[in-house]
Amino acid sequence: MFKAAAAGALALLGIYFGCLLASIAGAASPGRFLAVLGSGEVLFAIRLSVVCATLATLAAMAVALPAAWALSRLEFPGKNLVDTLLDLPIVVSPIALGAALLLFFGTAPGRFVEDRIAGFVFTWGGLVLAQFTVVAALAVRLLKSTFDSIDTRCEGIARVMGCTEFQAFRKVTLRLAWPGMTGAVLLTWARAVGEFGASVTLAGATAMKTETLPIAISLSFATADVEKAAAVVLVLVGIASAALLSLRLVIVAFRNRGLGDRA
Amino acid sequence: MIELRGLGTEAGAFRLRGVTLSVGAGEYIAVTGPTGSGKTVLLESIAGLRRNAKGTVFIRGEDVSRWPPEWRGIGYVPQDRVLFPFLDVRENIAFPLRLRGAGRAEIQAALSETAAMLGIEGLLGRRVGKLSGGEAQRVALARALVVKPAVLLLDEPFGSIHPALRRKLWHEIEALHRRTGFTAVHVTHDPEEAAALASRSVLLVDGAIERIGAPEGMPDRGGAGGAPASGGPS
Repeated sequence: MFKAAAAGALALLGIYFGCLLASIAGAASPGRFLAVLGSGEVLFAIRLSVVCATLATLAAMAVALPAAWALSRLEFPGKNLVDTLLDLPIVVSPIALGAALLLFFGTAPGRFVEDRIAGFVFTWGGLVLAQFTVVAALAVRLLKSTFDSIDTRCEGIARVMGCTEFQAFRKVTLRLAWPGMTGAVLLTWARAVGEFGASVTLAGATAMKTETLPIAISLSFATADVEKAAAVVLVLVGIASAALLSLRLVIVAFRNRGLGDRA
Repeated sequence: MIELRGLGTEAGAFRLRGVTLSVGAGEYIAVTGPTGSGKTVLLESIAGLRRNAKGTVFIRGEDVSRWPPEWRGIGYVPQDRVLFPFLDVRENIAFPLRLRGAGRAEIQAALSETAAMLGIEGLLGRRVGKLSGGEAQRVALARALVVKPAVLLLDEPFGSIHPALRRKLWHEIEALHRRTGFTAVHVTHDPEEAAALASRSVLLVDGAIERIGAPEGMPDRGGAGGAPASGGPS
């Protein structure tokens, strides 16, 4: 009875999301979909989304990798507080994060950065910064789980064999973390591609300037171009599906190499 | 070769309480005791994997208490072997040699010699996930011995191995010890294993040495047979 109820709930979810997808697909004819896909504006949005998400992911991983290792391996005062605060960007609305960024650039240090270092407000740099702000904490959380799952005795035995602490991290921990890291990169990237709230608040929604795919959807609805919005949604769903499928393939590949349990 | 003076540390529920012990060059000692008595903590303290709250560790006459593990020049076979799953058998064994900057010819020679010594020439190309318990054990031993360490720490190395194979490995270790003359500290639950390999046995109970003596007469937990720790070699 319980199994049947659980399977029923799963089927219901499948039907629900299937209906959503079907309604999006039904909103644009194949011809219109292809026309929208080939338009300069959508191609620009795809390119901008991919480039910004990739830069934001690279920046997030560069910070998250050592931060996650520190949270997983080191003991320091206030660790629990830091660990809790790191979840804030995950649970707080992205629009709030975007507003916080916008307010920061109104302060003296923010204006200094904006005037002397790089412009972020209403620029594509702002898109990267907004995406970074939203996904960095997610990257830390995913990587920390990866490091937590790694047997620290491997690092210990490497140290006894002659590795310095950094060598043990580079030659052993990172190699054991590789499946989890790959998954973290893919999920972080997919989340960055779909980011809207913080991006639109900091970088604005200007066609052919700060128009990522989610912003293109918003602009299309603003001009009542439902077919274009539906086509862009399908593109976004396609990119997210490709990322998730890649993640699944990576997990299978690592499992076949005997590292699957750590993927 | 190894001298511990008043070693004390705490690791969660496990602890060491003022352990004082001296192991001569080339000596093979067994450390026995009930579960949770601190045997693994003792080995980790000698290896430098655990910072000791008090006491001193001397290896080859030098105070290594504040040295990181990589400076201590120790071979270590941890519980459950802990082979690197991302490397095949050959690369697992070659790992410490590569760290020392050994050349290709040197690595090949050391690999061949160690593999022949432990009878694992046929396993070198295998993934570690495909090894049986006994094979993995030999590979772990090979990885520890390939750099010819003067000190070898073994933590329950034969715990999960079939009794018949276990006895075979005892003979192999004994022969290796005779041939290479390393100093060994071997943690085991098994009095028979201690008697087969060690010249002396240390009984650790609740983080303190309760008895030191001949392995044959060593009780599982206290009792007659060994000399009291204070009267034993220290």
